[in-house]
Amino acid sequence: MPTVTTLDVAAGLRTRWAAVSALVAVVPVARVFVGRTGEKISGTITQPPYARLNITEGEPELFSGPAYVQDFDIAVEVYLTDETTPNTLRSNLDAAFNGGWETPTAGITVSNATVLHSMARGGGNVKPTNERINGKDVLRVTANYRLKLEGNRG
Amino acid sequence: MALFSASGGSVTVNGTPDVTIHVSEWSIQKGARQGDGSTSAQGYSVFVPCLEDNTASFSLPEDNANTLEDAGIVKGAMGLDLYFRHGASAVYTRLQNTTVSSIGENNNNQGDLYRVQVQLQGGVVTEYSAAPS
Repeated sequence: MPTVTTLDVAAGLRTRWAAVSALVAVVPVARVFVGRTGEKISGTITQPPYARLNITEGEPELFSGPAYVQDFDIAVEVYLTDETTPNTLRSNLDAAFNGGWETPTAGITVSNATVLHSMARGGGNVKPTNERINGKDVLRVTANYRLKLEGNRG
Repeated sequence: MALFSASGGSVTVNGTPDVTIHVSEWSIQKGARQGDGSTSAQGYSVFVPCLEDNTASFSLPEDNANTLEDAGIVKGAMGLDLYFRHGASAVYTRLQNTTVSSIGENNNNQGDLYRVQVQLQGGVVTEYSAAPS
């Protein structure tokens, strides 16, 4: 089995995003990007709302067999101009990505891996960016999670 | 130089069947109990190894497959025959007739795995033993 990559994780997160209707209602999954935001969607310049997934691989923990464990740090950034939305959005991000005590995986599945758990980390916030569109601030909502995966190094 | 990588260094319990336990790490302290052979004429202490006295330990995140219980690694188990593999090489250190002195379990909710530590005491060491059949 191949080892787990950030793109495997990104695909799993986008699938989870698509399954949470409250998130899709604010940011359709086609507007959830990995890394740099797409400049255009369907020929028009991308404007908020959109989201960006920044995924960082942690150091793998190895055992004597093929199994290994690796953390992936997830930073979700959502850009939007609707000032009434951030609080609800923030809760919906947790509903999608923060595992509960009885459901630690948060319903996330990742190719080439078994999800052990997904947990919220600190450091999230809601801040206006330097950009304004049609007289409105562009807000950035950030939330951070840590995904612990079991992979197979063959 | 011909160093061993530790990667692949497992612990196998010799039995029917053999059970290989995939561990985070293992360690063995090979020693001997010392008798005091000092004499006043020498003017310094001399210790004489009387009998082999070994200890070992290993730790792992317990797996659903090949559990410690499957391998007979339970508290107080005696007469165990273990092979400690040197990385992925064909070289093993064998520890026979050892006893489980303690098993520690640790469940840390702060983003970690469920982990187990096993301590072994006693038994006889055979160096560079062949793999269990």
